[in-house]
Amino acid sequence: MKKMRKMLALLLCVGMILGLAACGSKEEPAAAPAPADGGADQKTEEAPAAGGEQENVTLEVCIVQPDWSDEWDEMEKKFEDEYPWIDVVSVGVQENQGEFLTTRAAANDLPAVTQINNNPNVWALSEEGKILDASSFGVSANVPDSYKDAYTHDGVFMGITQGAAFTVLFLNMDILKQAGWEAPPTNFDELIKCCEDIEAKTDVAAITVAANKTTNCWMVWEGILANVYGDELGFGVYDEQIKDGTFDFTKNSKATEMLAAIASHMMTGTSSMTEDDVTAAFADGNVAMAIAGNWTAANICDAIGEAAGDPAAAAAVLVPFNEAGKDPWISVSPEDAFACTVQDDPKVAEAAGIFYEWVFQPDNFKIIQNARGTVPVLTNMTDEHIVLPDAVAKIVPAMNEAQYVMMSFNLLTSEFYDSSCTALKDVYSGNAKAEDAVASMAANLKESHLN
Amino acid sequence: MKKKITFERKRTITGACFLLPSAILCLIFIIVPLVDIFRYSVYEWNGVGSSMKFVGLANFSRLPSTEGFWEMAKATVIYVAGDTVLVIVVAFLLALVLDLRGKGRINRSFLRAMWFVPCLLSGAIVGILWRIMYNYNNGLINTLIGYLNLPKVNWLETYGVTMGAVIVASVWCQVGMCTIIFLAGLQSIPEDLLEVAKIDGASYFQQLRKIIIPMMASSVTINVITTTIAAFKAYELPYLVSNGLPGYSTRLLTERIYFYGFKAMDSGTASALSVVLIVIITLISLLQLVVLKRREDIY
Repeated sequence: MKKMRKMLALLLCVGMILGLAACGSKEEPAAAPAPADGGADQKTEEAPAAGGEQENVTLEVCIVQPDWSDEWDEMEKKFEDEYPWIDVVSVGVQENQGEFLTTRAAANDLPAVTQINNNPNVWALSEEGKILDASSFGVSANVPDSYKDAYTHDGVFMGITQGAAFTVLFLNMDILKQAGWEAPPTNFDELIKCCEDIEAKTDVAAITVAANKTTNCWMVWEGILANVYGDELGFGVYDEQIKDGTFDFTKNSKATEMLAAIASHMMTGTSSMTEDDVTAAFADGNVAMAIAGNWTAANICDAIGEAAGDPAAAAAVLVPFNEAGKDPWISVSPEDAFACTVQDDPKVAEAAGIFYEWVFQPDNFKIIQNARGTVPVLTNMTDEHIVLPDAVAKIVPAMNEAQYVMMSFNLLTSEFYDSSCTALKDVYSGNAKAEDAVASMAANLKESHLN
Repeated sequence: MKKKITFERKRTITGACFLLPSAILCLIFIIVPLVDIFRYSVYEWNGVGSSMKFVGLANFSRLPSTEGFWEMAKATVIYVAGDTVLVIVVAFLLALVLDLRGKGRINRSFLRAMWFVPCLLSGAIVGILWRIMYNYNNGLINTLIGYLNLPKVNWLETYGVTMGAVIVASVWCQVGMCTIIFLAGLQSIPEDLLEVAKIDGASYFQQLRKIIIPMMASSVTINVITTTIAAFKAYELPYLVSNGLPGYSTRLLTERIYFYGFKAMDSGTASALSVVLIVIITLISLLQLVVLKRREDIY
């Protein structure tokens, strides 16, 4: 019996050591997946025949977002029907994708295809050679140069963007009509008056923003800055000054006053609201307006239609932070992009390349595009592929003509961004004065710029 | 001549063999990362690249001047103190109630299981659950308050209130485990000791003060130390309930470690802060151990 126990203990030890040794084994990184020149037509020929003698591969992709997670099932099925030997597994859906990516990067376990943002963390990954140059994929030919440039770092085209992101004011016109507004406000003074009327004549909150997400939290302030300083500085100057840390937030007190004015009408709970919370607030008829990214258009328009009992009640305009008689400035940015990462296993690398080419074909990409209601950038997508919510479709021409600044969150350090959004959230929740938050941001910018 | 192995030696070898697997795991997953953290704390490193620059103690010296550091340190202290005290008090009271014997009581095993269930949930799930319940506009708690015709409370955006809300969520999650440990302690108290006290005319509170609490000193020691360490290490639950709002008032130092490590890509500063936290946790745990052990020895 004693001997048996000893043997068992010994076996356990040996098993564990072997197991650990096996876990630590490494293979040489595979070469980049063979690019398929020019998109779907060629791809189908070059890709291994569906159901052929391919060895099964599991492919981790981190591209699904909650706002189109329902449509992912359709996309996954479509892909796996065409490529039955590739089992696509979506990871990181409910997580903050930036954090998910850096956590996986630190563990040297990046998903084969992943969503990336244009920020220093991703640049670091690219510099480390962990992201493939997307120029090698045929589908990159369908991306306009300006969007390629936006996602090019040190000569590496890191990924293809999902679309153009800009800020929109969504309105439930049913509630606005109850407050005496037949049309959306067209400038800042009207916006504030509209908020006051809604608060006085209805029992719903005037305006909100999903401030829990730092991008949304910052874009309210940035929209104000763009309109206050845009004409004075001219195109591109704001971006440069933010980047080199010379921009002075306190130079014109009007921006601070506008921040205070809009914050005073924000729905209680705004600073902790997620994008889902904003959608829920619209669906419950608890709020009349929201400043939100165009990427949430489909969900918000559906929610407004549901609350009002009429889809036509959903309206969207460029955020009217402009003075009366002037056109609004907006802040825009390429949306998050999809990138292919370097994979150790050549079979996974090959499958990733196939998936990457497949996902950006118009017939496939429209699944994502139309679920989110964003404005696409792929040049080979036509009107038959794009189905934008009516409210958003109406403002696309205005968006294309508007003067703009680049969303500056990509130009700022995480420390600055974090401290600024913390200060802004305190303003939105009524816990702090706008001037204190602006002073705090001004003090922090100089030591937090990226250069 | 073959040397005879003594019984003691055999026992030691067998024991070592049994310990080896866990020792290897401990070495790989605890000791090595711990040593690495100390090493990284003196380097400037982005966490994914291969270039590391030695900066000495610069990562430590910049910590106090980083934005919100002292507010976060204060939040951590309040959270740890509030969470530990509440968990211990509530768990002890619960254990006393669940230990009550007599006719008409609800099945004790069922009640114990009900209180234990939250411990089985991950901090992330509990955090999201409480966050939904605390929602100002359509959360369960404000809905119930509304039924009572009381004004709604902005649980997640009010200085002072939000920390309380976070602590309540944490207590709900942790109290089951401590209750089980206290129950085990209560049930190990000899029945005849309590019977004798009762015959001698001791009231329930006298029994509690003179017999029950002193005899549960070891359970208290375990619970206090484990709860304190868990509170210092807490990250996902407080973060998911309040996202650190309002201001930095509910943002804990653990969240800052994560921020530097995975958002700011500054593993050096993240490691330095981790080292500071490790030292603080170790010192406080040792202090608690000494004080509580001394108390155990008295009884």
